[in-house]
Amino acid sequence: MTVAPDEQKIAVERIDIAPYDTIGTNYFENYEYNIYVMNKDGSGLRKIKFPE
Amino acid sequence: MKFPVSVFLSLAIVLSLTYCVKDKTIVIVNPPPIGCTQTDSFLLPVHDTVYSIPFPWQAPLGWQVMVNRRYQYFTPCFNPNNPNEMVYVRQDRTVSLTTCELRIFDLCTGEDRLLYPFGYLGAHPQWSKTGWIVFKAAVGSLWKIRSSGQGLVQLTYGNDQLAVWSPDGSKILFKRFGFNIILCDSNGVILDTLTQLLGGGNWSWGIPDKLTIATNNSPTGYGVGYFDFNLNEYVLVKALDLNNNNCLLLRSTLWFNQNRDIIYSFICGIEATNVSAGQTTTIKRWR
Repeated sequence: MTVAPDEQKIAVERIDIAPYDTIGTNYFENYEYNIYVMNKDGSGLRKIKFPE
Repeated sequence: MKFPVSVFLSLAIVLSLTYCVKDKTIVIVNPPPIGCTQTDSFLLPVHDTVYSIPFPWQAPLGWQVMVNRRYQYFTPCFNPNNPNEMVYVRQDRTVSLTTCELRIFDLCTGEDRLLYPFGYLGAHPQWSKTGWIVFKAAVGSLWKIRSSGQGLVQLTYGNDQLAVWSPDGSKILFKRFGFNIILCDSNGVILDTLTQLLGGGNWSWGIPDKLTIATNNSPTGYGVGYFDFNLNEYVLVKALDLNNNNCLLLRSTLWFNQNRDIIYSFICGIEATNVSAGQTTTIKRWR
């Protein structure tokens, strides 16, 4: 997590877990690491779509 | 009673303008971030979803992780001189699971550029006010590089990680062999070993004499606090109970709200606790 120098924005790494499935006796999950930005009070959450 | 035509027309204009404003308010669902002037296509609005699914380690019959996406993104750090610029780590799983790119992204323009191609997965890049970025490389421990991409310098040769700059950019604090806490100058010359911080981690150095830190050692217990360099003591600000589910497993701590609060992220969300009053505010909850 990082706070912008003007303290108006927060950016944070988050593990996003896609809907998982249970197959047999195994618990499967699919995850992605993404970076999100939001306002200092937590409002305005956005996921950064980096160019690939 | 009859209305003059001019009054009728004025009312019609006002009503139509009101409708337009309302319509515009509805249409703009993705306003530009604070400090930017344009609506963007690279910042996707997200619903505030709180997941209620169990943690994988709670699964009674075992679990298995699958990763399908090629790129993964880690550890953003804002430029202390530009609130719209950040450095981050990008892993390309088709190339390597441990060697990652350090990249710089502009939140206003969407410009994304390569800074250094051979960072470590846990590079933990930290941007100083002097323009240098310190990070752990795939080979050779801690390095620093200018945000322009010039001036690459190797700083240390041990198994070092989690480097942070002092507020003025003159010193660096880092962890060696996952254990010893070392203080060095901006060129890697060791100044001190801080045994008082054993068991700590996830730190930031936003105030000259106070280091935010997460601890997991007795007698302080698990929680968030700060280390006062002048008093040579640790102050616990918020005790946390892991409660066997790791939801509160800390990932980072920072000074916040003009240094009145410590903000900390954990697996399930983000909170801030006022240092003097001890009052905690939930910023975001993921789970």
